[in-house]
Amino acid sequence: MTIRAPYATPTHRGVTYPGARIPSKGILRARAMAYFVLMFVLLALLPFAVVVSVVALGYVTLAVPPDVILGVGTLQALLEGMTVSAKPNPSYGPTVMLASLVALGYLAIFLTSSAVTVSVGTSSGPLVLRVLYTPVILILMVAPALRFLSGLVTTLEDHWHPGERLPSDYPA
Amino acid sequence: MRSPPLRRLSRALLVLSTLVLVAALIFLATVAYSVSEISPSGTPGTRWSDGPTAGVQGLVLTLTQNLSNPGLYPLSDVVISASLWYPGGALVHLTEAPQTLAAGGTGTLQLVLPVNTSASSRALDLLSQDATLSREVWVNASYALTFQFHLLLAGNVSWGAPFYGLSVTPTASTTTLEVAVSYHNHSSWDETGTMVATVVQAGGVACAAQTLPSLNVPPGGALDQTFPVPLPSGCDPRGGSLDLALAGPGFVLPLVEEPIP
Repeated sequence: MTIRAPYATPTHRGVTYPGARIPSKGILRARAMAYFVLMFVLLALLPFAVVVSVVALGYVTLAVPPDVILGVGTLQALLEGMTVSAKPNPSYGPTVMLASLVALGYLAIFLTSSAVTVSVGTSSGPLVLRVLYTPVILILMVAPALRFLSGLVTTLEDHWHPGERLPSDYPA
Repeated sequence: MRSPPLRRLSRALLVLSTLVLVAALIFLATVAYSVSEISPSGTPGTRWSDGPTAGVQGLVLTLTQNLSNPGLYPLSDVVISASLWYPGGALVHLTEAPQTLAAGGTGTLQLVLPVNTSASSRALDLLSQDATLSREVWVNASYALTFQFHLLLAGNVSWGAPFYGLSVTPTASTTTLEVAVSYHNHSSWDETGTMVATVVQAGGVACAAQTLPSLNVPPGGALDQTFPVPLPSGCDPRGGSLDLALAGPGFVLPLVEEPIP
């Protein structure tokens, strides 16, 4: 009978890191899938459902179509899941950078047309309310920008000192 | 074991990114909650007063609305513009200076509308004629420095004349001028004040004036009364005119200039 260890050998590019306890690929994939599902709900399904129900009211116009929100949200969730599975590998930093860039692009779509328009007919005439939220998008863009820098530093670290971070990322 | 410096830097950036995101989401949640708490309080107020511009005959209609802003952020740069047209011309066009409603309290937004009531103004017609007025109101405001609101309210407004069908009939005798006044109040406010009747002789010289009894005509009500204006000796009103004005707190509104047969 063969018992598979839940954790992989703490090596990286032939270098052994005795202080690291890297989860097996199976565990990493399971974590990535769970994270993807969570992110898919938070970044794609939930915003899509909210936008569709708001647009269905008939008097609210959004600058970004619901399909774009679902598509980009799904891509973002996929990349977030990939960052989890890629964490022990050198591809982690670039994956984080890519996920951050997609998040920035996602927000940039809203930035270029950051407005919600509500048009309601009243007994005395039309009422039009337009809400602009450009500063909100700019504030939200700070987080992925910082995360992009974090991914860049990790990429550089993995390039200059391969596997150096593994013992601290996966302490034994 | 202490993490490598680059790892510490990358982790610090990641933690900072998460903190910024959480702080932004908390901020947005508080903004959304605070916005939902803004509500009008009390009923809109209207007040007439004399025109502010020297040499221009007119009245000022001041519209006020109390707003409650119990939230965490101010409603700032509230700019109200309003235009009102009646058949044949513009009645009012005005942009208010920016106003601010402080956080955690109540405030009053104000719109001051000058109404030209000079003899040449068709606005005077609205005193005695019902009309459908076109209206456009714009409200721009900024909330918590992050959201900008632009509100446009357009459409028609039914105007009910406060002195609908105003009829003034002066009948002169040697010592008294009988003034019969009748009208319906089609407006939505109580008419309170006094009427001032001035007798002007044919030469243009005023020779008698009388403050008529106080008015209190509710919306939908009517007035149909005859008031005596005593004429002093030497005051012959025949061929002259009767000027009738409504006087209230802070204003005098000329209503009609009726020839005296």
